[in-house]
Amino acid sequence: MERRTFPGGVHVPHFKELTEHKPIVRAREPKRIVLPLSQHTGAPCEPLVREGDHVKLGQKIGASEAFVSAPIHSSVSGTVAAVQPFLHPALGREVLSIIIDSDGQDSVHEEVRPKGDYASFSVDEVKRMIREAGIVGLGGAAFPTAVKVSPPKEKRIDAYILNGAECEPFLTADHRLMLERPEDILYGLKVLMYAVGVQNGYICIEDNKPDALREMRKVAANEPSIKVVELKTRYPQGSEKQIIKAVLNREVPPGGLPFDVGVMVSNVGTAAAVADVFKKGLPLVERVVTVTGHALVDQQNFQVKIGTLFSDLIDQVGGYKVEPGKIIMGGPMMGIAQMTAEVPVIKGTSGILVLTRQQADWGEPSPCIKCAKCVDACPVNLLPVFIGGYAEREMYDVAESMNALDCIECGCCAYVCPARRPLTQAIRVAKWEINERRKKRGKK
Amino acid sequence: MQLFAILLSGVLINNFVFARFLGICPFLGVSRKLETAIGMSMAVIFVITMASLISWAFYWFVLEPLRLGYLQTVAFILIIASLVQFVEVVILKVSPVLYQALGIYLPLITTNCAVLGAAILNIRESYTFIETLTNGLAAALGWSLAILLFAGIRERLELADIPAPLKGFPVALISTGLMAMAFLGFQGFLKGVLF
Amino acid sequence: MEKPDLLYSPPPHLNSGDTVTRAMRDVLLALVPIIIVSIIFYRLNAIFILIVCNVTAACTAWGMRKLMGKPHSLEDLSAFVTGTLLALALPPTFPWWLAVIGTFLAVGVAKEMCGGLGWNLFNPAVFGRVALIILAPAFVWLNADMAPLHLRFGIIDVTSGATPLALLKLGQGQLLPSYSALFIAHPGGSMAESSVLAVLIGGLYLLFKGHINWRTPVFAIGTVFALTMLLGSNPFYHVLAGGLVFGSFFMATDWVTTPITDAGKIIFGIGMGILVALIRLYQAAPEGVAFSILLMNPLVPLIDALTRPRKFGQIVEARIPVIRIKTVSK
Repeated sequence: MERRTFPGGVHVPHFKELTEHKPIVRAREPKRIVLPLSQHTGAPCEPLVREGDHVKLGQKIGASEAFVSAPIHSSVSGTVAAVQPFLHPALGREVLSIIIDSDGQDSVHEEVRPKGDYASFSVDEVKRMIREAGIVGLGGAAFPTAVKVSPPKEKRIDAYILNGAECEPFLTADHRLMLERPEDILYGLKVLMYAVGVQNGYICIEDNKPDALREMRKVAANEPSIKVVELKTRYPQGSEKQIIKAVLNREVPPGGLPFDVGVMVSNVGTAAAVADVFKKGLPLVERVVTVTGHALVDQQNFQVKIGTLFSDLIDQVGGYKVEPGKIIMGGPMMGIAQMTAEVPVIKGTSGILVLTRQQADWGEPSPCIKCAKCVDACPVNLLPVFIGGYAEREMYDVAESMNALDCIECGCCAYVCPARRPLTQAIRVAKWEINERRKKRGKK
Repeated sequence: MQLFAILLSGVLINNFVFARFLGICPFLGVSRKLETAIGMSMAVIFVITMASLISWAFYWFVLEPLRLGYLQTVAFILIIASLVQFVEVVILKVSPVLYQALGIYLPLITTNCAVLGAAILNIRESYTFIETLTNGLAAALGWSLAILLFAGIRERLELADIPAPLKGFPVALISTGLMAMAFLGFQGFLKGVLF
Repeated sequence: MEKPDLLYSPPPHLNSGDTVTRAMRDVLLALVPIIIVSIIFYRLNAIFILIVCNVTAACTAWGMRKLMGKPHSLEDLSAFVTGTLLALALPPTFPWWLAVIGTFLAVGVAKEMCGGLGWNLFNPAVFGRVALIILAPAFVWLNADMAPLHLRFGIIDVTSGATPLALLKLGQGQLLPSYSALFIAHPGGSMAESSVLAVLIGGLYLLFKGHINWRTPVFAIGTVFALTMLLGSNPFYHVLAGGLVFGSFFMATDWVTTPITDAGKIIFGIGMGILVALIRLYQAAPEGVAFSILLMNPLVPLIDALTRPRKFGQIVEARIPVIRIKTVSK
C-alpha cells in the first residue's frame, strides 16, 4: 500500500503509547460546568438564560445572529449559578461564561430526538441542523462546520478529506474514536459530503495507527466513493495544507483556504459529532478528551461533558505524580499553555497535557548557528532562521518581505532548533505585528 | 590574452577595494542594502569606463603633446566632474528610465577616488585605447563585485550580536579586511595562467 | 487541590533535545579518527600542537568575551572545535608560537570580533590557516628570535619530503605514493592530510548524525575530480592527496559560514571545487582548499538570497532572480 506524505516536517516522538490502548471511558459527572460563550472562531454568543434559570441537557443557552458563529448548549441539567466572566483556556483571558450547577439528573431537553436519515432532508436543512447543533471543527481551530460546508458559490469542491492523522504527540482522542465508533465517523462524512455535494471522500490516517486504518477500511469497504488513505507518520501531517498536499498533491496558495483548491477538510471527531446530531439528535455537548502527560499518575481517554473543569479530569486520573511544569490544552506542538487547571473543557479541547517541569523548562536559548535544521523542517518552505532573527530584532518589515505571514505556526522550527531559540514564538509575534500594521494602514 | 590578463587582474587580483583600497567611501556608504548597491554598481561601471576613455584621450592628445603631463591629476578631476554632470544631462534626455535608475548615485561618483585611480593607472601603465577600455571596465566590475558581496554581508551583520564599540563601521571595516585577506588567494594566478 | 506553579509560554512545548553543545561535541568526536592517525604518525608532536591550539582558542574566546562584557561560552565547545580543526590543518612540526598567533587570529578576530559564535562571516579555522600563510613573510624575524625555543618531540623523517600534490606539480609522478596508501594512511603535509579514510569515517559519522548535508562535500569533491580530469591532470591524486576531503567534510560544512538551502549548498560545493582545481593547477601554490573556502564564505549571503525556496502553494515563479532597482526621483 502506498503511503503518502508532504515535503518538510519533523519526526516527533509521539508518546501515544500512554493512552492509545485505553478505551474511551465516561468521565465522572461534573458538579458544576462552565460554558464560555465563545468556543469557536467567529462572533461570541449572547446568553439566552439568566441566573437561577433551570436548564436541561441539550438546551440551547447561547446563540448569535452572526453568520460565522455556533450556538452553545448545556451539557447537564440543572440551575444556572451565574453568568459572569471566567478564564478561557484558548484566549487566555476572562470571557463571559454561563456557570451551571448540575442536578445530576441529566434530564434531556424535548428537542433532543433522532433526526432520521439525512438524505430525506434538503441540503439547506442539513446545514441548518449542523449549525443549530453547534458543531465546530473538533481538531482544535473550532471553526463552525455549517459555515465551512457553505463555501462561496464560485468555488467548485470535488473532494472531502476527513482528517484522522492526529499528528500531535500524546493525543489519542481521534485514534480511539476511529477504533470505537468507525460507523459513526463514516456516517458523519457522508452527511458532510451530502451537504457540500462532493463525490469523493478520503479518510486519512497516519501509519502509526494500523488498527484504526484496519477498522476504517472495514467499515468503508462498501463505499465506492470513500477511500481510506494511509499517511506516513510525520508532523504536521494533520495540518490542513499538508494533508491536502499529501493526499491530492494540491497546494493551497499562500493566504488561501482549502476550498481554493476544491477541497474541504474536517476532523474525524467532527464527523462523529455530526453523526450524533442525526442518529441521536444530540447537539455538541460532549467530546473525547485525552488526559495525558508524564506528570500525571495515570493517563486516560475520557468522554467529557463540555464545560468540565481541567482540574476535575486531572483528579480523576489520580492527580500529579511529580510537580507539574506546564498544563497544555491540546498537543505539545500547537497546544496552548494554561495559567491554572481551573479552566473548562471547550469544544476545541482535544487533550489536556501535563508536562513535568523538566520537560517544560527549556533553559536559556544559545546563539543561532545557522545549522538550517529549521529550513529543512519547515513544511511551507520558509526560512525560519532569518524570519525569526528579524522578528526578534523587531524588524517586522523585513520579516514580512520574507513571507512571515505564510507561517502555519506548526512549531517544527522551534522543535528542531538545537540552540532552543523560540522561532515559532517570535514569528507568531511578527505575524501579529504585521497584521496590526496592515490594519492601521487600511484605516488611513 | 593580454586583455584577458588585464580583466582578470582588475576584477580579482588587483581588486580596487580589496587590493588597492580605492573607492572605500561609497563602498561603505552605499552597501547597506543590496538594491542600492546594485544601483551604485551600474553607475560606477558606466562612469569609470567612460572616464577612463576620455581621460586617456585627453592625456595622449592634449596634455602629452603640450608637455603638460604634470597637470594630469587636476585635469582628470575636472574631466571626471564635468563628465558626470554631462552624462547626467544626456541620460536625462535620452533615457529617463536609466536616469531614474541611476538617480542619486551619479553625482556621488564625482568624488569617488576609484574613478580617478582608474584614469591615472591607465596612463601609468601606458595602456593602449583598447587596453584602457578593458582596464576601466575591469576596475569597475571588480568594485561592483566587492560592493555586491559586501551588501549581502552588511544585511547579515545587522542581525549580529556585535559589541557596542564595534557596531557599524568598525565591524564593516574589519569584515572588509578579512575579505581582502581572502582575495589574496587570487594573488599569483596571473603567473600561473598567463605568463 | 494545590495550586502548582506553572510555566506559561506559547507553543511549541516540546523540543528535539538537541543542543549546540551536543552538535559541537559530535564534531569533536568525528575528528577522533584523524587525531588518532596523527598521533600514531607524529607521536607527541601531534599532541603538543593540538594542546597549544586548543588552549589558545579557549583563552582567546574567554578573554575576548570578557573584554566585550559578554558571559563566557566555553561550554558550547565551539572554541575547541576551532582549535582542533586549526591544529589538524597545520603540519605536526609547526612552530608553536605561530600556532598561537594563528589560533588567536582565528578565534579572536575572525570569530569573536564579528559577533561570536553564529555571526562570523568566515570559517575561523580556515581563516587562521590562511592568515598564517599570508603573514608568513612578516614572521621571518619572529622565527629567527624564537628558533631556540622550538620544541621537537622526536625526529620525524617522513615529513621532510615534498607532499604528493607538490610532486604532482613538479612533474615527479614516479615518486608519488600509491592510491591505496594515500587513501588509508600516508604521512605528509598537514596532520589532517595523513589519512583520507580516517577523515571519511568522521565525515560519515556527522552525516549519520544529521549534522551535515551530503551535498556540499559530494559536489565539492565531484567538481574537483571532474575539472582536474578535464584539464588533463590526475583526478585521483587531486581528490586523495591534500586537504580536499578534510576541507569538504569539516570546513565547507560549517553551519555558520555556508548557505542554508540545499541549492545553496550545491552552489557552494561547486564554486569551492572550481576554485580548488584552478588554484592547484594554475597557481604557484600546490594547495588551495583553504583559500577556496575563504573565498566562498563572503558569497554566502548572496547565495542565500538567490536560492530562497519557492513559497508553498505558489504556482509558477521565475527561477531567474529578478533584480529590482529602486527608482529614485530627484
